[in-house]
Amino acid sequence: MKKLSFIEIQDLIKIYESKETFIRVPALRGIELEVKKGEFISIIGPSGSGKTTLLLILAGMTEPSAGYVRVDDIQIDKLDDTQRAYYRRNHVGTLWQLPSRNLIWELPIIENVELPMRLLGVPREQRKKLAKELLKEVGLETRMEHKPSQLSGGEVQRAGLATALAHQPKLLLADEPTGELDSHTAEELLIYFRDLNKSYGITAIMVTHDYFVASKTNKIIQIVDGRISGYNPARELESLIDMNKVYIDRYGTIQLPKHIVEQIETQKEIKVSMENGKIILEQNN
Amino acid sequence: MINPIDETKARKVFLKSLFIITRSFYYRFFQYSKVKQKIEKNKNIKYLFGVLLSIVFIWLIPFLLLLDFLLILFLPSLHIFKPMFKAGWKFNLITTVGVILAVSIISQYVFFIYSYQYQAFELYLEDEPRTFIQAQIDSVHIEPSYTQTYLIDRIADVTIQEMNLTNNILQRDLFFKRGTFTSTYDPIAKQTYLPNLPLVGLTDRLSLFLSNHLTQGRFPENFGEVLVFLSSNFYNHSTIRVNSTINLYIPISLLKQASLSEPQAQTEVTVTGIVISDNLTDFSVIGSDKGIPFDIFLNLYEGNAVLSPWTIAARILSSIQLTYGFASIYENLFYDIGTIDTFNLDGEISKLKELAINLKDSYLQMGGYSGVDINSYLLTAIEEFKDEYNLYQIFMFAFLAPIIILTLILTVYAANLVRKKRERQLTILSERGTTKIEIGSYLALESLIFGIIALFLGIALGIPVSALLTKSSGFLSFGNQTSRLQIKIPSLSQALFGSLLVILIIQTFNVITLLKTRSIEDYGKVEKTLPSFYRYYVDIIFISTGGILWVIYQLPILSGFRDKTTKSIGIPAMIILLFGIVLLIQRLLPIFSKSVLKLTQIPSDKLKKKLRLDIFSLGIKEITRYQSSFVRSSVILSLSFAIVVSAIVVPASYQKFNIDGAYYDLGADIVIENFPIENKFLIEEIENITEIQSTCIVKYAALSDISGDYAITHAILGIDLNKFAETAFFREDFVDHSLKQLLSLLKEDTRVIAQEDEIKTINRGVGDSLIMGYRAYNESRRGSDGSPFYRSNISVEIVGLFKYWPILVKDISTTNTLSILNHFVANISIFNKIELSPLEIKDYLLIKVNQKEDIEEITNKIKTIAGSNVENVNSKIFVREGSARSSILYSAINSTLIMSFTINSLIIALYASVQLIERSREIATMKAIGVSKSQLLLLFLSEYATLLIFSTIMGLLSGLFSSWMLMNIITINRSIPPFIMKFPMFYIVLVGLILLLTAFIGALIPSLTATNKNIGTDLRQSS
Ligand SMILES: Nc1ncnc2c1ncn2[C@@H]1O[C@H](COP(=O)(O)OP(=O)(O)O)[C@@H](O)[C@H]1O
Ligand SMILES: [Mg+2]
Repeated sequence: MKKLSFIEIQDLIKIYESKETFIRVPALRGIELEVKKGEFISIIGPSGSGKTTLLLILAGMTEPSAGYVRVDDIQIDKLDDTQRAYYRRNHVGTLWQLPSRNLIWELPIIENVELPMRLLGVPREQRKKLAKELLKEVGLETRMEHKPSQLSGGEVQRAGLATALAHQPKLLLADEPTGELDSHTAEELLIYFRDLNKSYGITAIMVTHDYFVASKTNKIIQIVDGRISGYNPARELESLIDMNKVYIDRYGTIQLPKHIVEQIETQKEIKVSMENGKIILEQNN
Repeated sequence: MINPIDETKARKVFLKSLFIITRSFYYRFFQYSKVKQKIEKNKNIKYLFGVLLSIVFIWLIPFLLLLDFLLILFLPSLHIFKPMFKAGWKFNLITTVGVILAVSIISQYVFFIYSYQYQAFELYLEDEPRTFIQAQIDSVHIEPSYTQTYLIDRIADVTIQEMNLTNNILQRDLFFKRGTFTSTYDPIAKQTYLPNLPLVGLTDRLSLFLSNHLTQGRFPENFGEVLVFLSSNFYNHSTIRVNSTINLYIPISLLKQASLSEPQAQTEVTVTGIVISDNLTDFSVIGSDKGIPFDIFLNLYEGNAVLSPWTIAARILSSIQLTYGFASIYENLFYDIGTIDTFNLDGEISKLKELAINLKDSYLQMGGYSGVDINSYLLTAIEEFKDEYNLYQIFMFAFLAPIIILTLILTVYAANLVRKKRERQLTILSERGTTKIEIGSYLALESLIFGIIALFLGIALGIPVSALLTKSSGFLSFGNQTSRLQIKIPSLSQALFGSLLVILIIQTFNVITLLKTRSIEDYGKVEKTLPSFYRYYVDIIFISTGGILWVIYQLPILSGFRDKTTKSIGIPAMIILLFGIVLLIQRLLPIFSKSVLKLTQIPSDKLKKKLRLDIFSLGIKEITRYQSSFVRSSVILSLSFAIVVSAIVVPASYQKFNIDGAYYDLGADIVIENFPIENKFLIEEIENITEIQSTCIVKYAALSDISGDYAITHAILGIDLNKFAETAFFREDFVDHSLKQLLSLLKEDTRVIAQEDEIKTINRGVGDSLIMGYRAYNESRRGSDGSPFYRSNISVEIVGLFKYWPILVKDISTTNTLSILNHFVANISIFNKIELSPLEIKDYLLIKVNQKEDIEEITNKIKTIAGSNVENVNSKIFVREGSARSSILYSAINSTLIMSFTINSLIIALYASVQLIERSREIATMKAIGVSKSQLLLLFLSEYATLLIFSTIMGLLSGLFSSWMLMNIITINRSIPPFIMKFPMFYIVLVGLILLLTAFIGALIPSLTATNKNIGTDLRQSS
């Protein structure tokens, strides 16, 4: 019998639909991915390429538009709201770039770490013991009663890591956890991350745009324009979206429709100007 | 003393008011379908509608509570309760403060209104002795036996029983009265005169009362014996003493003069006792704490009478020739004031009207008496009370409604300020795998806890404040002892009921918004534009809606419905317009801050000062940067200041309007109506009172004529030119130029000045002459038909114009009806040229009292000289200082002020602290680059100072506008004399300063803590 991989993703498509403007933004355009149990992989790619979106789907925080996503023996794309909440509660630990998204700022570190265990109904004594152990492992045993605002950036992310692991998830997802840290502190956090990944045998996926960070992992996957780099999806996405409307994100990134991209020379500079409220893109030959 | 209130009445009242809320709702919808058939058709819908509304009102609360309960009980969220509560209580507390305020205002309002309404009518009657219903049966042959009194009383008794009013009318008293006069010698004036001295026959209770209160002598027992009831003044001016005999005459002709000289019928009686009315205790009545002055009880106009037991008096009466034993019988019915339901005044009014009709009917049907008049003084009192009470309610409503809206805005605003932080917590909770239902359940539990806290704290806060308010005696002073706070089960439950509804609505709203899906993306956004509601032109919509409503309210067609439209259209229009204007003027905030900025950028020589100015201008620049948040708090600040300003201006203007109105109706400080102006001796005696500055005689008559289809009336007020200006009340705006100038034109008898609008409608003007036709009277010209009346006319010349004239002009006729009324003022000597029957001319004596003298005291002095026809301006003023009536007026104002102070300091403190938390990074950066603590403080305070100054100015302007509107609403039923706005600058400035101070302290505390914070933690804290 063929041994199943821990994560299996096929033809994953995610289109964001803006309720105000009715513009549809394709974030993922057909992802195919397999991850083995216990693996520590990193996802790299330019800003806006869909890395976060992929993590959100794996974390059960947003619904895929189409495709097949399985984590362990759970098919996530079939889950409803409540089921997804239970999935998050039982199986996933997350660590985000923004420290304020990882910890409740008004609670001391220890209570933050205890929170996921409370959700699972772990008895008090056990909860306290586990939380202390975890905090010891990330080197914060003396700071347990402190609030996040009293810690340094690296310490906060370490506390966030402890929280993400508190309920012993099978899957650990991290979205640029080192993004706000200096390189030294980032490296430190990474060491903790790898150690814990090993000692708990957790499958871990980390998003980063830093090749150095990525190089510390078992495997690097690159995402460009919502696709795993060098891979062409079987299904054409363009049929799903309006061919003549494009979306500009808040960084100014534009994704041109495929039928235009096919006609132009890519990897080349273009001139952008604005006239009477119209944006003009010019390519000089 | 006020009767203690029994609980059953209270409970009844509570249920009733629930019913009334429901009923008044559907009446609002159905009152216009007054056609009978339509009502029949609508009956079912009406019924359904009522039931539906009751369900909504009575069941919404239990429903929301049940929902809360279910969420908490069956979907436990207890496992996350502890950490979430620990993390969130601070934020909840901020919202709870708003809710506490709202609850305390509601409970204040309810407690106060209840306490007031329980006692209001009794308090109102404090100054009104005539609280009974009097049946007057004219031309009854008086029998010298008590069977007659028994039979007549029986008729009233049966009627009362039929109407089930036996418990309401606890006492009835009968007497008869016949107008007689006597002749006596005045030892002071040294002349004989003929005072009125009516003959009164008493029933047992009245006899007993008087025999217990004799001043001299004994009570009459035998035929021909009488008791004399008179004032001490009369006593001094006559030779009537115990044991003296006096003659009683009856007048024969209608005319005073004719009859006085030759009495035609008479009898002789012996005085056995004397009662001096001045110090007689009041006649006590069952069901009332205070009694009734006996002269008022007997309806004596001049306060004097001869009295005897019924049988004796009846025989005296029949012994006077030409009376044939006929007199009027009076029955006074005393209604137990305590049983009057002040919560259902309309019901009481119709009950009293019905009683009057039934009584009249019964006297006719059962006794055969046709000349029956029912004088329901009580009914008049209730009707007047209703008008007055309506006015108070308008006051309370007009001020408290915006205040409650303001607290709700504050609550929502506070909730919004902390929402981001709350949402962050809840997002993390949800990302860690908490289901929506668990979060909802937690939020419900949490809001229940804070709701209960808010409920109890709010009511606990409301009780002392309303206790204080009940004592309101003036502007922010609390010395009134007449009314006291009454907290009873119904008021408590209504306060709980109302508060619970508000809390549940706020909390439900809060939970729903918090449960919405959140996106973490918009952290730390800076809003550079106006708040989003400006995008929909909310301000313009408000102003146009309010404006349209205002125009509708002012429509002449609706003038008949003002009672109803004031609350439903007038005040809402005012409130909507006020909100609209306040919102609109916020658009000026950036312009304002920019111009302040320019002012601060004037180059300065001193370097130190320059730096300070730079920091200041930086602070002002921030206002444009954080425009949205600034505008939000500026709206609230301007609004509360506007409300405060109108809370000062409106009562002051109203008080002035009230006093002016009283003076306008009366004419002077003190006025004696039907004054015998020929009695030079009397005028002299009055003028001799040292506290009196001057007196002036005024005559009034209306000359009526018919010309073609038109009935024309020329109302003429003849005044004493030399004394009018210094004696009478007059306001500069009543005439175009000066009063003196105008009066100097009237030297000749036939010159008049006219009302300017009226004279235009008959196409006349200054310089024109006018012929007034009228029915003249001359006794010596009796023609062949025997009538002394004939047609005559007088030609006058119009020499000037006026707008308003006290006593004379109550209504200006400008419409084209078939009757024309024109008003004129002339020299008093014009009446020498007009031959009218003396009965058609009204004579007044106007009296001006020296400044700072007590008008009341002097009135009493004059009464002892001139009888009881003396009226003073004080008794005509609605809201006198220290009265129970002023208490409610001032409590509305004081409550508004107190609440505004609280809201202002809270809002700015809240706003400042949240702003400073949001900007903690910025603050830390500034500190890091070396900005000192004091500079930082200056920076914040300059921001708040600019904000405060702006909102104060805008609040003042919009406050003045809304005051003007409110004055229009209050005075809409009375346009003459027009109201004048009063601006008590001292109070406005005082309150403005208090507001600024409280707000500034509110801003200072968080600013100080922010400047003292550690840089490290702030820089590290992510936004
Ligand atoms: N909630 C959203 N609504 C609309 N578009 C979104 C939303 N979230 C992300 N996007 C868009 O989807 C694309 C992928 O975003 P994301 O997954 O955040 O990329 P990355 O994490 O690689 O920077 C981007 O173009 C982004 O603008
Ligand atoms: Mg991302």
